[in-house]
Amino acid sequence: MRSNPIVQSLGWAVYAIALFLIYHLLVKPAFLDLTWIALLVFLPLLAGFYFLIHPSERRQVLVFTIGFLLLDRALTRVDVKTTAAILIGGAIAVIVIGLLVKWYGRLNWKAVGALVIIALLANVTFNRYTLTALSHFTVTEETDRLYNGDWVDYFPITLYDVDGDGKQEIVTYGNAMELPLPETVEKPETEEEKKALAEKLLHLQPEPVSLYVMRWQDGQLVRMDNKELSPETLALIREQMPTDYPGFPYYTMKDDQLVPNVQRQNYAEAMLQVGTAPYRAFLLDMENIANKLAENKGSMDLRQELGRNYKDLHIIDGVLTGTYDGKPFSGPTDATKLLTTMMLPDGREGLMIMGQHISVMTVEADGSLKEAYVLTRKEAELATAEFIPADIDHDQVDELLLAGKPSYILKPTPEGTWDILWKSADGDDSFRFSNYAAVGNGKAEIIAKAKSWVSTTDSRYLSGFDYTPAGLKENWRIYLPLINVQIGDIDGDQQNEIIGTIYNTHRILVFKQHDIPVIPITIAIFIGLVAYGIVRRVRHA
Amino acid sequence: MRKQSKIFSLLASVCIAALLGGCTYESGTKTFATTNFNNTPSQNTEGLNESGAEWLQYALEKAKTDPDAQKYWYKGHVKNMILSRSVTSMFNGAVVNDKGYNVDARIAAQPYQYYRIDDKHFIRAKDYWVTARDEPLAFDVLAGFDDWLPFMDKAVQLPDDKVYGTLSAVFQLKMTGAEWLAKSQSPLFEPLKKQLGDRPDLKYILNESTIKTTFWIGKEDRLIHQYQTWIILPLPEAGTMDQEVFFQLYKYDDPGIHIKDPAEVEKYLLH
Repeated sequence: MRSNPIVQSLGWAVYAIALFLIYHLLVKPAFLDLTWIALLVFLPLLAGFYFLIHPSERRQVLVFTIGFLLLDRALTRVDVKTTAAILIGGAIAVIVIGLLVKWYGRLNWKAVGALVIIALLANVTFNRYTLTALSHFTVTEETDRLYNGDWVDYFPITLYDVDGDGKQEIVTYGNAMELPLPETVEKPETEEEKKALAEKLLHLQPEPVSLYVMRWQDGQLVRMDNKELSPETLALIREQMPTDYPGFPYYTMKDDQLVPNVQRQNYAEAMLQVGTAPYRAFLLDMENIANKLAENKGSMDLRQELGRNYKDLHIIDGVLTGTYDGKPFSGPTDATKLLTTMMLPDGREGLMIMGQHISVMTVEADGSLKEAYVLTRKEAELATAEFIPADIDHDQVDELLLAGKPSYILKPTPEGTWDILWKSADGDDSFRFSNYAAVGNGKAEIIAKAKSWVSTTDSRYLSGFDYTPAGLKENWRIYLPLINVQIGDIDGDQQNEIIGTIYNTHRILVFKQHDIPVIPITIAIFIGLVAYGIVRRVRHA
Repeated sequence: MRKQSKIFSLLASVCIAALLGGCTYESGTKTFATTNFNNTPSQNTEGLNESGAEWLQYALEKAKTDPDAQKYWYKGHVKNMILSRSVTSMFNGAVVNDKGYNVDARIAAQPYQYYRIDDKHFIRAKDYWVTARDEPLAFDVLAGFDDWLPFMDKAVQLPDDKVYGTLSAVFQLKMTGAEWLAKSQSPLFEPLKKQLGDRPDLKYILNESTIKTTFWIGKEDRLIHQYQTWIILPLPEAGTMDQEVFFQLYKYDDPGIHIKDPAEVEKYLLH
């Protein structure tokens, strides 16, 4: 690197970019997925690179490499609470690492300049979550935190075309606008301030909570004003929201508030009458259920439409009623939830309901109900499972993706039993199906949260799979533990985006698929860099 | 140099193969992983036919009178599972009977501490100690255990089990919520019993519910060491709610148990 100054600076800048791409797109995913196997490959590679660089340039290249990766990491970790904190923290990181690199690496200022500029650009020009998904996606939006309360870890998210413009809106709950965070937290000084804070701390407080309808507008998500939505529209939106009981039975969501049903002192004292603990827990559950049933007028579940053929579904007093293809039906049931529908081998559409067990009901010619398939609690943990019907082998019959511990793909047989097409590995409690949908403009695929191939930790990454008789073939992976994933076209470009959030962050992320072969390009850069090193070493020799 | 290049090419190809190689998640064993649902034996297995009622009665009397059973550690939680969500409240600490107890607690992801000694009560929330001023409940950790006695004649003895190294006799009973409510003498249930009169929907919930309680009573010390109740209730729009109430009472008469002097807290009181 002894050519003219501009070429020198450019050379270092190109090296920094190559380093950035190789580190984030090849090295990090390799470690996340392969853990110790990646280390086995990486250590000899590092040693190889060390000897590949000519001894006269070794110190400069190594210090530049470490300095760049350090500065990039330092800038991503800068305190983001205030603009001043970002600027001061960023400046300190740049100055300290810049000077260290200059002094210890004996690098010229052009190299230091290239290092700082590329690290800065890598931190201000795009959403850093993009790096976790760049093989197939870019992050086009990350909202601010939508919830500022004390305890809810996540709210459900759904997609629904609220304004009828062909684009899906993102619907969730939040309270960031109703409960803005204070600029600074001041310690109480006066007796009045202390008394006021003590009063506030003594009891759990209600929190505001509202529907947050987020619309894509001018390249970002903007909250729609709930006052602009008619009561009918709001009721329709609420019906689309998945059932959720955050904080049950300690909190109830009521009239745009999360209201506590217990208080710290009484609850601790009640539970410390240990023999009464189940009695009290049971009473608290029953009180909540009684209120919910009173609110629903005794109804267990109600859906205006479900699937292709079911309408006016209602479970009340142990009876399920509705219409199938316009014909009324009814029958006894102990179910409390209308789940979904699925196409069955006989061509009929089955209605899946959930009580203590899961049943798929069919409507007979005389308007009665028949339990065509059943899945018992003896066979699978159903209480916290999710159920996704999906025709994964394209035979016009839906399979059932059961997300649980373990997860299954079940195929209904004409004999009324289930064939297990696939089951998550014994001992893998992390795998969980999330959706069956088309991402971008491709074909529908299985979307699931799956842990690393080797690691024993339970960190889960969102992945796309195709079903094959040999197993689930991975198409892509986003190295983020995304939850509440929804797939839909929110920006109206006829391509489906991935919408999700990370546990306890209350920020919505939007991932858009791209067609650039990022990984092959990065591998080519990696090979090019190695080839350049070899050529340079040979010329030196 | 050529040799070096070959090594580099080899390593690079291993790396690329690892990154590009198609990953397929093969299926586990294609059978249902049977759960422990409904695993309760309907009658005593051979050799396990002791009376649960007698064991519980004796354990409660001993806990009141035995001077070595007057202080102990405890650990408990109430875990609710609904759809894909679980919410847990927790309680850990130590008890010195007739003196006080401390509780490291959590309600819906909000941690706090509760400290009760003699007639003083304090809460620590968000790093501040405050004086608790609600009307206190009776200081009686074993309250409510005798409400189980009318049911214990139907308890089934399970094989012995260890709780923190203490070999314990295990008794289990199972019923519906409706049976629990009908037979229980607990005054806590009175308001619900009255409410049922005009609420057939609640009667339905109770008939469809499952209650399963298990006691672990030390074989040697005859004290309660573990206590678990599963409550499964139909929940509107949500299938069922599975709830586990679980407590362990351990290290009876541990010399390490000291309830701190209230002055230690009072000097930090916010108000």
